[in-house]
Amino acid sequence: MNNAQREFCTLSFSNEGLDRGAKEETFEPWDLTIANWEKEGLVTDFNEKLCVPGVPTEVGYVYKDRPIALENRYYMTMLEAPIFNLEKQLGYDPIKRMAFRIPFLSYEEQLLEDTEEYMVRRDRDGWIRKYIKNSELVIDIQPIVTDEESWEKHKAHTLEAYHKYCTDENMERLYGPYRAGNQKGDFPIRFRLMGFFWCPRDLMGVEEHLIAYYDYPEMIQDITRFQLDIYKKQMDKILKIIKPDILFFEEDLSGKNGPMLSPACFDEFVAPCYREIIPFLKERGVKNIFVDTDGDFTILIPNFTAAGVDGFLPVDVNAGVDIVEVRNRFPNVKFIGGYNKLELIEGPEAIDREFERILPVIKQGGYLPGIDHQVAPSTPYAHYLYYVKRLGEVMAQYRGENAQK
Amino acid sequence: MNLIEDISTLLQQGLTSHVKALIQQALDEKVPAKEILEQGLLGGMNIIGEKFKKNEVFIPDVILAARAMNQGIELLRPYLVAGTSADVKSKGTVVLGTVKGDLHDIGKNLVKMMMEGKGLKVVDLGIDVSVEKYIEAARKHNAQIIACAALLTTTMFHVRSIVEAVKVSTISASVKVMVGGAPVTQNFANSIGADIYATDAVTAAELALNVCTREFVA
Repeated sequence: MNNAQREFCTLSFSNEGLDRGAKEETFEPWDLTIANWEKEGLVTDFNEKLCVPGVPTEVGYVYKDRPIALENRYYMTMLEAPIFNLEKQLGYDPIKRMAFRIPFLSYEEQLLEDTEEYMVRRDRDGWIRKYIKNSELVIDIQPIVTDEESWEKHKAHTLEAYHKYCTDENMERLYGPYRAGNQKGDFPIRFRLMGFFWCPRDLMGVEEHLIAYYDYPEMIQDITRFQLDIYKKQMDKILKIIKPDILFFEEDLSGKNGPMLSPACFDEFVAPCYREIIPFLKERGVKNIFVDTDGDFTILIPNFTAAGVDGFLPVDVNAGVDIVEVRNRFPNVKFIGGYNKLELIEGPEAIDREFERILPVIKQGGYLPGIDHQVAPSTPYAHYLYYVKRLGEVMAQYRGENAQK
Repeated sequence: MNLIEDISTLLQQGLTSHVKALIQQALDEKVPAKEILEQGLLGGMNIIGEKFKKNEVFIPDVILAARAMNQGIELLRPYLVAGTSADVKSKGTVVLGTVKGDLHDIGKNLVKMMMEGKGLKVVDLGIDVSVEKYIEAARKHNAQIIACAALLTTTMFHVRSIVEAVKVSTISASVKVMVGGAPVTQNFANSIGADIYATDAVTAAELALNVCTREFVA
C-alpha cells in the first residue's frame, strides 16, 4: 500500500485493504512554535529558510534568501519542501502541500508616505496600509475593492497578470516535478484554493465584505464568477499534471458563535459556486473535497454537503465543535483535525484523554485526526513529540484490517 | 401605522434610508426624540441582539442594523438636548479594545454595536491596546468597565496583565474588567481573576448593562 492509498483509505469508512491509519498533521506549522521548539531541542532550518512576510498577503511563508518570482506566488509549490522535510523529521507520513492562487497579488509595492513613526504603503495586493515603526501593528487604510468601479479595475489588472504569468510553461515547470511521485502514490497531494466567501473578504475587508452581500450583491456574484472561470480553466490543465488527493477551499467563515453568514446567504452566494466547481473537479480525478471553515460551522453542514463538499477542517474544539456529536448527527461527513491543541500544553495524560475522546470517530473512519488548527507556541516540544507518537499508535491500533474493535 | 414600531422593524431589516425617512417623519409629527431613540432604535437593536444570540440572524444583519441605528442616532442628536427632558444619558461607560499584539476587530466591533444598542457609551480604543491605554481611558471617561478582547492563543495572556494592572491601580474600586474572545474561556477568566467573562457580544452587552445600572442605582 502506498502513502496516497493509505490516506484515501483512512478517509473512507472501511478498513478493507488498509494496513494502518495515516498519520498526518492538519496545517503547516506556526513559525513562533518552531522558534520555541528550537530552544527545546528541535534541530531544523525551517525558520532559517522561511519567514512570515511582513506584508499581509495570502502567502503563509516566503523564502528569506531569494526573491519570489510572481508565477511562484500563483502556482504555489515553493513551500512544499521545507514543510515536507519538517513533518518527516517530526514523524509524520509524507504529504506534499501546494496551491493555486489567482494573481490578485500583482501590484508593485509603492511607498506613499514615510515618517519617523510610520510608513504608508501600497502593498502587493493593492491595499493601502499604514505600518507603525518599531511595532508589528499594521493598520488597513484602503482596500483594493470598495465598489463596482474599483472591482472592474482590479479585475482588469488581475487578468493582465494572469495572462502574463499563468502560462502552460510555468504551470509545467512548477507542478511537473510532482507528476511521477503523484502517479506512483509516493505522497498524497493536499491542494488549496481560496474559497468563495474568503475571496471577496480579502479584496474588501471584513465588515465591508459582509455589508456588500446587501449593498453590492451583483458585484459579489461577479467576483465569485471570476474565481470560478479562472479555477476551471487552470484546474483543467493542472489536473492533467497532478491529481490532488485532498483539495480544500479556504473559507474561514465561522467563529466561536457560528458562521459569519446565514444559511440563506450561503445558499444564494456561496453554494452555487461549490455546486459548479465540485463536479468539475471530481470528474477530473480529485477524490476528496474539503472546506477549511474555522470556528463553529455546524449550522452550515447541510448546506455544504448539499453542494457536494465531502468534509471539513480543522474542526475547532475551542469553538465548541464536538467532533463525536457532529459525526453522530452527520454520519457521512469526513473530517481533518478535531484534536484540541490546548491539551498538548497539559502533557501526556491530557493528550491520552483527548485521544480517548475522539476515538469513536477514528474507529468509524472518514477522519484524519490532527491538531484543530496550528500548534500553539506555548506547547512544549516534548509534549508534541509524545502526541505524534501516540497518534501513530492510535491510528495503527484502531484503523486497518487488523484494527482493534 | 405605528411609526416607532416601523422604525424598529426597518432597523432590524438594515434599511438605513427607510429608517432615516421614518425618523424624520416621526420628528415632524412631534414624536419625542427620546422615544424614537429608546423604543425605535435601541429597541430594534435589542431584538436583533436577541435573535443573534439564538442564531436567528447573523453578523451581516447585526452590522446593517447597527449602521441604521448609528445613522438614526446622528439624525436625532440635535433633538436630544442636554439638560432638558429630551436628554438621554448613557446608562454607563465601557472602555473597549483588542489587546496588545492582536489586530482582530470584528468581534470587538460587534460588542460595541451591542453595547451601544443597550444605551451604553463605548470608548473604542481599537486594536493593539496597551495596558496603560486601557487604564488611562477608563480614568478619563469615568468608565465602569474595561472590556478587553483577545482573539489569538498568543495574545490572550495579555489579558492577565490588564487584570493585574487594574487591581493595583487607583481605579480598582470603581472599574470591573470584562474579558472575552475566541480562545478565552470561563476557566481562563477565573484563573486570571477577571471580574466578568462574556461568551459572545450580546452577553457582553447584557452583563455590562447589569454592572453599569447596578452601579448607577447604588
